[in-house]
Amino acid sequence: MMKITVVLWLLFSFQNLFASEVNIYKIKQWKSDQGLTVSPQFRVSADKPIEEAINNGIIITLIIKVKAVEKISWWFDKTLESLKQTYEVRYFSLSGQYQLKNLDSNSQNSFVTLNELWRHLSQKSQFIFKLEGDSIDYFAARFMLDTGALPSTMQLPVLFDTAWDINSDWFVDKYDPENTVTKTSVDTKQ
Amino acid sequence: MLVTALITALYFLTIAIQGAKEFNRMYLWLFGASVVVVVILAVIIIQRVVWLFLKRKQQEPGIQLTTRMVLTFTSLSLPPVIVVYLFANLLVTNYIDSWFDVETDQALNDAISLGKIFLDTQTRTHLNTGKDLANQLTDIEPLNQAIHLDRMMEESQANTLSIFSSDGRLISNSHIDPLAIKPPLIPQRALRLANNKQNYARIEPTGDDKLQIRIVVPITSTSAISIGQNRILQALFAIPENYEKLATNIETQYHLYNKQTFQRQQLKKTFIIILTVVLLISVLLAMLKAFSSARRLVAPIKLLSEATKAITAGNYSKKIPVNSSDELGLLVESFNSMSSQIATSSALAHRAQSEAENQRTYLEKVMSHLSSGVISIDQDHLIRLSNEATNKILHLDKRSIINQNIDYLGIKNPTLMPLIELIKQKMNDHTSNWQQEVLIAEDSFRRVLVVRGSLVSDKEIEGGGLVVVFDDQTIINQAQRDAAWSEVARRLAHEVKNPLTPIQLSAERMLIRFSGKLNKEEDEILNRATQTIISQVENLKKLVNAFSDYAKPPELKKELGALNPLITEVVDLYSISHPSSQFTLNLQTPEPQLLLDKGRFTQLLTNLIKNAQESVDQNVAKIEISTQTVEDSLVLTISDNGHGFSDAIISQVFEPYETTKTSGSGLGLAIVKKIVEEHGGLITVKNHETGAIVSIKLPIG
Repeated sequence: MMKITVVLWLLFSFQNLFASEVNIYKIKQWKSDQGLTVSPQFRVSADKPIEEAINNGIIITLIIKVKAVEKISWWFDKTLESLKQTYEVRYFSLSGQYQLKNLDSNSQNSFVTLNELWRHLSQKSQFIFKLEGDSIDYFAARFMLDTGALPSTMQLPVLFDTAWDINSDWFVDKYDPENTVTKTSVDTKQ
Repeated sequence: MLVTALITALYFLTIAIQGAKEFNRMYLWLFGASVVVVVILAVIIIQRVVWLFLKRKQQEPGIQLTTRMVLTFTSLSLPPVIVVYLFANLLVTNYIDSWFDVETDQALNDAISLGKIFLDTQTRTHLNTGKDLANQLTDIEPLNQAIHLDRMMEESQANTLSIFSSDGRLISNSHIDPLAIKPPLIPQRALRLANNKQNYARIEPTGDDKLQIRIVVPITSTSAISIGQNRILQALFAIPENYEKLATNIETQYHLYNKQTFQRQQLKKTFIIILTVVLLISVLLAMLKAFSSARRLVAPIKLLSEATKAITAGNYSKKIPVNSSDELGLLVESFNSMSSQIATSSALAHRAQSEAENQRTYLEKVMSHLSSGVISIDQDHLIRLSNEATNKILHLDKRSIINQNIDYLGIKNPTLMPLIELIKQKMNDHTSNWQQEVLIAEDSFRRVLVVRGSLVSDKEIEGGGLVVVFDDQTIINQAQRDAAWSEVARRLAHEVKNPLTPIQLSAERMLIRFSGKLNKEEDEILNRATQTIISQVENLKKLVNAFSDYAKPPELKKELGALNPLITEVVDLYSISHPSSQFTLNLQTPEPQLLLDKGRFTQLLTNLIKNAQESVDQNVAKIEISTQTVEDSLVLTISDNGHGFSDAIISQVFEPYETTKTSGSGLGLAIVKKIVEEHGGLITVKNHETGAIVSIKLPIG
C-alpha cells in the first residue's frame, strides 16, 4: 500500500512538473472616455505540448472573462455586467510567425515568438464596462482554454493532461475608485 | 429510444471527428452521452444478470431455459462483432497510417521551403525599397515628411507607409485605400529593433489567407529639430495576388497535413475508442435483446409450467393467456383446452364419485340395518364386503374383516370352520345358487345359521366371486321347536291326561271289586298289578303336568326385586331337606334390583339346585352359588362337584326331554331356559374340573 502511494505521488508530481499554468495577479482599472476600462494582468506559462500543437497547425482558442459584481449581504453576489473576449493563437509556417487574433474585434497581431504573444495577451487585453462605478464592489477575471474549439480528437485527452491546463480560477480584485486612472488616448503599439 | 439516441450520437461523433465545425463543439457532449448510454446499458445488463442469478437460486420455472437462451444469443452475437471490431481496428489504423508517408511529408516541406524562399526574396526586395524610402526621408524635413508619403507610396507600390516616433507614436500615415480608418500599428519588436538602428523585415499573415511584408527601418535625420528624436518608417507591402494564393494554399495544406500528422495517434485512439464503444453497444444491445427475447419466448413455457403444477395440485381453473399465434401460442391454446377438458372430466368424476360415495354410504347404511349377515368374497377368497350383522352373528370383534382371507374368520372364531369349509366348497364347485344350514357349536351353545350363497360371474365383476348371506336361525328354530314342543306337550297333556283318570279309577275299582274274592296268590297278583297301574298313572300324570307346564307357562308377574333373598330361601329349603349338601354363597352386596317373577325364578333356582344335587353320585354335594355385576347385567353362577355334562348332550341340554337321568321329565333345564328367556336373560352351561357350571346373565332392571 505504501509503495503504491509513493508511486502515485511521484506520477502526480511528475505530471505537475510539465503542467502549464495561468496566474492572474491584478486587474487594472481606469476610467476612459468610452467607460470604465478593465485590464486583467496575468502570467501565462504554456508548456511544450501546447507549443508543439500550435507549431503543428492546431489553432488554440483562449477566452478571457471579466465581470463587475455587487456584493449583497446574506445572498448571492449580483453580477452587474459580464464581458468576454475570445482569442485565437495560430502559427503560420511561411512567415514563421505566431498570430494572435481577437475574434470579437477581429484585430490581429503577429509575433515572432510564442512568448511575445503570451506577453502581449497577458497585458494588453482590455474590457470596457458601461457602468457607473458606485454599485461595483469588485471585479472578477478568469482565463481559460476553449477545449470545444480544439480538434475533436484532442478534446478528450486534453481533459486529463495537466500540460493543457491553462485555465485559471476566478481572480477577484476590489473596485478601487481611488486608484482609477483616466486615459484618453489609444495605445498604437502592438 | 435509448438506442436511437445512442446511434444518433455515434453518427454525429463520427462526423465531428471528420472535422465538421458544427459538431466539433458537441464532441465531448456526444462522447459523454455515448459513454453514459453504454454505462446505462451495462447497468441494465448487470441488473438483468443479477435478476437471472437470483431467479436461478429460487429455481423459478423457465429460468434455466432463459439462461441458456441468453447465453446462446450472446455467444452467437459476440464472434461476428469481435471479428468486425478487430478488422475495423486494423483497417482504420492502417488506413490512417496510409495517409502519412515520407514522400508526401517531403513534398509539402519542399513546397513550404520554396514558398519561404520566394517570400524571403520578396522581403529582401521590399527591405531595400524601404531603405531607399528611409534614405529619401532622411533628406526631407521631418515636418515635411508626411507630404511626401503618398508619392513615395505610389512609387514604391506599398500598401501603407507610416512614420512613427521612437516611442511608437504614429506621426503620419499614407494608405493605398484612402477610406481606411484604422491606424496602422507597429510591433514592439520592430520598434525595438528600429530604435537600435536595425531593420525589421518580415512576412506577416493578415487574416486567415492573406500575407503582407512589413518593413520597419529607422529614419536618420540630420535636422537639428529631430536630434535626439529618431523616426521610424514602416512600409507594408502586399504579396502579388497569384503568388499569395499559391503560397496560402501551400501553407493551408501544409498546416492541414501537419495537423493530421500531429493528431495521428490521437485520431487512431479516437477511432478505436469509438469502435470499442460501438462494440460494447452492439454486445450490450445483443444481450439486452437476448434477455427480452428469451423472456418473451420462455414466458408461455413458464406459465405452462405453473399451470401444470396448479393442475397437479387440483386447480383446474388455471388458464394461460394466448399472446401469440405461433407454435407456442398453439401449445398454450391446446393446454387451455386440455385443462378445460380435465376440469370437466374431473367435475364429472367428482360428481360420479360423490354419487358413488352416496350410493355406497346408502348401501352401507342399508346393510348395517340388515339383520342378515352379508359378505362378498372374491376369487382369491378375500372378503371384499361385509356388514355389521356379520360380526354380530359370527361373534367376531368389531374389527373390520374386509380384505382379509376367509380363513381369518376361522382364526378369530374357530367354531366357524364348518361355515368356512362350506363356502370354500361351494366356490370350488362353482355352485351358482345354494342354501344350507350350518351348525355352529360354541361351548354349550349350539347355533344354527342358514347360509345362502350366490355366485358372481366374472362378467359381472372382474375375477368373479361369491355373495354369502346368512341368518342366525337358532332363535327361530328354537322358537319353532319350543312351539312344536309346546304343541306336543299340549296335545300330549290333553290326549294323555284324559284317559289317565279313568284308567286309575278302573284299576282302583277292580281292586275294590275283586280284593278278597280271589285266592291268595291271585289276590296278590291283583294287588301288585293295580298298584303298578295306579303308580304308573301317577307318574304319567306328573309327566303330563310337567309337559303342561312347559307347554303353557303361567303369565309372568315381574316386579323389581332382589335376587339374593330368593337364593337364600331356596338354599335354606334344600339345606333342611338335604342336610348333607353343602352350600357356599358368594352373593354380591349391595345387589342390583332386577325385574323378576319371584315364583318362576324360585322354580328356576329349585330346578338348578336339584339338578346340581342329583349330579353328585357318591360324594357330598358341594354347591357354590355366586352373583356378580358385569356391565349392565347380573351374572348368577351355580357350580357343583357332580359328574358334569357329557360331551354328547352338552350342546343340547336345554332341549326338552334331553336327560341322562333315569327318572324325571327331562324338561327341567328346558323350563329353566324358558324362564331365563322370559326374563330377557341368557343361560350357558359348561363343565369345570369337578363338575358343571351354569351361568345365567340377567339384565339389571
